[in-house]
Amino acid sequence: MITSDAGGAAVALAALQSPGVSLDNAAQLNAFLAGVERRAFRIAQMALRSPEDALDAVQETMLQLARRYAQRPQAEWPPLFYCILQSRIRDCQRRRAVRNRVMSFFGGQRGAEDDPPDPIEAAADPAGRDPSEQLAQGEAIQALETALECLPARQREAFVLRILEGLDVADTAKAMGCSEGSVKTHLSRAVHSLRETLGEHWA
Amino acid sequence: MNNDSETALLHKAHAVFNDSTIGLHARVLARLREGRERAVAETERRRSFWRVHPWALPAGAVAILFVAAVGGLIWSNPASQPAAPFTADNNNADMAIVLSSDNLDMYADMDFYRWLGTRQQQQQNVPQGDTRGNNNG
Repeated sequence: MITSDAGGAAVALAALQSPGVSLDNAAQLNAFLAGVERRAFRIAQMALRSPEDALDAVQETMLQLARRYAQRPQAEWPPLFYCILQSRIRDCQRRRAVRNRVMSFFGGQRGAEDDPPDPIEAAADPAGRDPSEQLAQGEAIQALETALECLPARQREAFVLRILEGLDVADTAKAMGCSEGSVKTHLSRAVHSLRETLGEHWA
Repeated sequence: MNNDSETALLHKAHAVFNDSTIGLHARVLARLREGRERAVAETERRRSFWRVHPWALPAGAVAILFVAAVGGLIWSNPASQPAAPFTADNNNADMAIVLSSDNLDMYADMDFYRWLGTRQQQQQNVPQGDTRGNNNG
């Protein structure tokens, strides 16, 4: 299990809590959000398969955290942030399901293949990696995303928060709104499934 | 697959995910920054409300205490006369009045009873005059 490599939220929090750092609440929130925003975007994008929806979800999450929980202790921000984010992702998925149902009722359902090409995906790699490296990395993340898609929602949440984001079990449980035992169960099943799926690709 | 390979797989998943966050497009980063700035501005706006209106909280507390005190005074010293306590006797008397057909007839023949009252008063006056007349005779 990954414990030594802390995730973005943990790193952001550690930077804020390090001695000598004395910031007011707004600056602390800014630093925290700056530390988690990219990872949050990627988590939302993996779940929603749409950069625009993912950006909306992350922006709404940031705003909700600032409105409701900015005065809470900083240690509570990571689970609260991801709890709100997961809620926004579920809301978006529900809205999308309803929209698809309505569209299919009127006979105008649009498939993903009919969508216009995403300009973000078509743009050049800003990190400046060579094409082969970019391709390998793209295939790896694609395999991970496909494997995660096959998981049940709760198992996916547990894996994303615990392994990809690096929250500890207690924070993962808070973010998911369940017990630590449930997190361990979901995670164990998720890892078992991913081992079978990704083992072929990443062996 | 043993435990080591499972750990390696999880490490790889973590690393692949981390790598995917590095090369985000400038437009995405700009949108994320915009959202973050809005969130921080929201925090500062809320803080500035309390800075500009520091009296709002104490004023609200005083208002609540005032309303509670007034309510307590009204509750403990009601201005109106207390209603007669409800007893079985009162209740029976009221029911007798309501159910009595005589009383209902009385209200229907009010003119008769008014005449009867006047006549009784006249009769009371007449014997006084007779007494005087007898004394004189």
